[in-house]
Amino acid sequence: MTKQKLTLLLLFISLVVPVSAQNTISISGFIRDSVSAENLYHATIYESNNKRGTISNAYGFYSLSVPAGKVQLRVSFVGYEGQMLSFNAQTDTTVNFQLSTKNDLQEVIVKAKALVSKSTFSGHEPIDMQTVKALPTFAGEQDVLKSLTVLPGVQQGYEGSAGVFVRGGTPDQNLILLDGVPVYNATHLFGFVSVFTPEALQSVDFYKSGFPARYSGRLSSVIDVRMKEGNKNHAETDITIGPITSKFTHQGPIKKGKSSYLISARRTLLDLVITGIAKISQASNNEVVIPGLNLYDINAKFNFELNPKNHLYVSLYGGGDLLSSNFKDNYSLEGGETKQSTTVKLMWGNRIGALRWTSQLGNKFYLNTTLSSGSFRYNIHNKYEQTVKNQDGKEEIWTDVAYKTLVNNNKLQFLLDWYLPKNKIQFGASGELNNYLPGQQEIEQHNGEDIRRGNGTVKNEALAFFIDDQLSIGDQFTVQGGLRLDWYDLGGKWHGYVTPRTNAKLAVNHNLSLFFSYAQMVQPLHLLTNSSVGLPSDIWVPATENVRPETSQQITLGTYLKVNDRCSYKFDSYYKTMKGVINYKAGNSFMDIYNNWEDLVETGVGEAWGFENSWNYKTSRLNTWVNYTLSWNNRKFESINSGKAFPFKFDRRHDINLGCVYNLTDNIECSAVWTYQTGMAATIPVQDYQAAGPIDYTITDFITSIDIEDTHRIQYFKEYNNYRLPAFHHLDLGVTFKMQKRNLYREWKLGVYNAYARQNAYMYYPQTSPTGETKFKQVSIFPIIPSISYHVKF
Amino acid sequence: MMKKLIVKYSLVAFTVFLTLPACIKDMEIDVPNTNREVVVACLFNPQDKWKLTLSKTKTLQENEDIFIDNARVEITTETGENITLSYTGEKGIYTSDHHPEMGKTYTLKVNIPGHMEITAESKVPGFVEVTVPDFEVKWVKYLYSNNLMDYDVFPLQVNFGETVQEARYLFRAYYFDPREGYKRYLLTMDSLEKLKKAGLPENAYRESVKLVDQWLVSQWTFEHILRDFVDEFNLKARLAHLIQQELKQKTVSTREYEAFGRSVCFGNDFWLNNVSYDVMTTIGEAENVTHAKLLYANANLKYSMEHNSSRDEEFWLEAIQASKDYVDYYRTYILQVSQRINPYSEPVMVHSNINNGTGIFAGFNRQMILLFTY
Repeated sequence: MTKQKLTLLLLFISLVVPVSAQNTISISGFIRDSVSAENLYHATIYESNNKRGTISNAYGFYSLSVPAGKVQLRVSFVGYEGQMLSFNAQTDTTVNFQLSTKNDLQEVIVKAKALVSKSTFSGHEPIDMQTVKALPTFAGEQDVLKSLTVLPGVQQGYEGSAGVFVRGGTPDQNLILLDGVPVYNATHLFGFVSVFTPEALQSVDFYKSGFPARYSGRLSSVIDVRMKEGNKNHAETDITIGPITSKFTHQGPIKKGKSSYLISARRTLLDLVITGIAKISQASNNEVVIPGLNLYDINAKFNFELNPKNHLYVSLYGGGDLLSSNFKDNYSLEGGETKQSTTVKLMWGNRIGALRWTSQLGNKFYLNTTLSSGSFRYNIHNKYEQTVKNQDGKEEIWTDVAYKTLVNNNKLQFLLDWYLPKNKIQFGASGELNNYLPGQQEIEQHNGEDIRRGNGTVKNEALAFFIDDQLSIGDQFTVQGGLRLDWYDLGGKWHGYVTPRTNAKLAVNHNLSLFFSYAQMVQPLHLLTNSSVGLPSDIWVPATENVRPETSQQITLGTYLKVNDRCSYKFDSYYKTMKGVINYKAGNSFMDIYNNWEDLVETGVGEAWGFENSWNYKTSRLNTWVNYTLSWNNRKFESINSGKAFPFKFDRRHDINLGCVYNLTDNIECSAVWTYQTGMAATIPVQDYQAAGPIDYTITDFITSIDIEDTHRIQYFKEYNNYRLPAFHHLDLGVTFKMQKRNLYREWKLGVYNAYARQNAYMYYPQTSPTGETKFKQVSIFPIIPSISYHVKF
Repeated sequence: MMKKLIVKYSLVAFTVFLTLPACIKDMEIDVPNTNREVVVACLFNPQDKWKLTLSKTKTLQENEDIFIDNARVEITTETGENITLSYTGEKGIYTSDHHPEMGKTYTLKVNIPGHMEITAESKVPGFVEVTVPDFEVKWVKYLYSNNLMDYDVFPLQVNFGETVQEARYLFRAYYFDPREGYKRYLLTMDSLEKLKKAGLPENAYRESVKLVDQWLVSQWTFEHILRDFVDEFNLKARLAHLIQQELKQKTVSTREYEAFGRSVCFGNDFWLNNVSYDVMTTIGEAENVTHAKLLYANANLKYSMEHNSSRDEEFWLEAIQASKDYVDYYRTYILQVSQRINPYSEPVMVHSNINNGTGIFAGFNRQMILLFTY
């Protein structure tokens, strides 16, 4: 980093740390749920006499500086009864609040409005879990990540997929955190279900611009998911049975009012059906092929109150997918008996652990120290066994072939909140140790001749310092300035990156606000999505001296208009540039363990811009919204499309989302969401020609076992993504029946995904008819999916 | 075959779940008219005379290729020598009696009335002898990550006669069966008409017409056409039986490249890799290399060796020393073919070095090495 940049940083820090005024006292404390005693994040506390306010941090802590004297505090939080407290304060004072939830009906109405929230700054959307629960389900699954796609600027990739594309970015550019630890692969079942169990989650903070300086490492968005801490006062159990997964969540006090735990487990039951049918149908066969399928998530959280100002939290998560097949064959030959067995397993999943110590230091400081570790593994196993019994005895032959990839992040972070009279400063530092295994093949054999191929583990380190200051100037203008300094070890050589962040809000009057933000982001790792193989083959690799980190700049301008108490309108415009985005060079495969992956990729640039509009109308029973995004999204690589910019695959010009949640009665809730998106950009080769030196053999797609037609001909096209697939749209409906009997709460959820059976194109391929005419066929995978799930809580 | 089934089952457990409600229909997209491009097809090496094909790209709705018969085709050497290729009168093929020479760079100029001059340039690499030192066939397992299949392979090493500063190679495994390799097969036009009367579909007939009255190295050529174009099992079986009845057969004394059968070959070195699902060709580029390590596979050979049943088959290795354009062309071509039905793949544009047209003009050297006979 240059000397000038260091000077700038020091100047910046000196500007944002004003001297405290005399006769100013601090009022601090925690805001918690009155029943579970869980901390409430984002609760608002406002001192009316001096018109000063703040919001609670992730641990429910707040601190407000006010002049000594009469104080009138108002505390509010979405879905909770507000509280007011007046008292005379002459010295620093601690005041803890315990808020009670409103009744069920009000809760849903108020919480559902968070779909179009009006947080302090533009680009930040706090998502409440009640919001997620209010939306129609996909095959009975409530999904945090999919719920984000109703927001403007957030698009779904393939149909049914939980991978989200934020303002022209890609899913790997989303920093997905679970209790502060990165989740590298946040989906199950090839992307159709996210790894987050809604019942175990407390809140989700979603940022698509104006990122606070504490976040780094990805270009496009931050999805900060927090697990519940567990009920500190009494035990509580949730059980949900659904068509794809069934879930169990249990929470309760370890020491009443002081410490608690939460344990949640989820798994699919589809394997019982698939494996069961295969076993029954092949029971009498000598040759048996048994497929297997599984997905699971296990969350656990423990929190301990060491004393009123010090807390310890332990967060654990493990989840994964398994896809397997076991082939068995028994036969007798020339007096001998032979048994063969081949087992193929694909396994991938995340492991996360975090130890967090939070400490209130005086009335103005709150320190959060976190030691965390997160990893993602992707393994393939192929085991062959053969046993031959004959008069000579018994002979066993076996081979176990494994392919492994791994990414692992270990991090120590200090984060300090400093509450000053007119501003709140957050600063901190972190150190990371990362391990990557880009690909390794291990072969074990019965004869002891083991083989290991691959490039081995790559380690690197990172250091970061960051500071954010939120300053209010008068009642109308609020500005947040942040600066982050990152040092990355790029293959033995350290490189520094300075990424400034700015947010500003001007409240023109009570009904109209203007927003501005600017952010730079750095992504020091790349995802090698192996598009030459139709498998979930996520291979994460570190940025290196040759393939530098991806960087982005984003500038936004927006407005919020409160038309009346029921109706509001929000507008955001953005322009984003990305550098260093990677693409594989044609003809290469990332699963090739012999090659240096750096030689297989090229870097390019991306550019995205758009206009996002949100209308929201709500009454006591109805909450409805219309979200519309007009956007452009291009990429440019030297070796693709003759070096000219071309539309990105998920460049969707128009993205419309209409939705409503309506409480028919106190116990029946209805919801409907209609999504429309311009069709994906696609390269349709409409011409072809005879190959020179044709490959004279058949190539088979190994997933579908389809032989690829006519390998002698080369498909010809001049430009990438030169056509548009048909528009993508579907209507999803949901209805929830709620029943409460003493302490037993039950819920039936009925849902229909794609209610009018729109046949959206999931994939397409050319097919030649007997008359020689070639047409493109489209495959739709979800014409209509009805679902039912049952949830009980006691 | 069973392994393919296993892999299919293992991966499709999920796909089955997805595709139960799946449906397929014609896709409605607006496809505007696109101008045709001139296609140059010329992969040249010193062992063969100059031969170049000129055609035009055709739309997917058209059945026949459009060949160009009125072009002036000239190839210029770096020393200024001009070679003119003459039209042979069929299928856009232009030839000359000259042979390309090793280590020379050639510039192609094609002039077609009403079309801008088409140019391209490529070089035949200088010859570097390739040898395979003595080795023992030692079978090991190899998992090919791109298709999750495990193969019984044996490692072998290829040595270059000198350090190759800019190495660009393709390696392929072949076998030659002396009992079948000298036989040739011919189907007459009359026989094809009989097949048509017996129910051969129009598109299969059109493909077959291109091959009638020619001595072919494989008796299965027409069966392959049936496989591609005839869905109904009984009809396919009836027509296959009729083809075997109608095929004429003779024995020749010469070997042809096309009579060699393909086998499986993987790279076992840092600079070699196979492309996507393809297990037949391993391709590599590197600087200052002296050797290449390979994994050679042939299921029949392993079976024969395990059961001590020699078939007197010859096992060969093809080493192609290629120009940059040749390597890029094959790498992208194989990838495009492999990815045609993969919805998650980015589209692949096949490499072309033709200015004002498309296709390929690229030089190479081929060496065939007999490994052993078993």
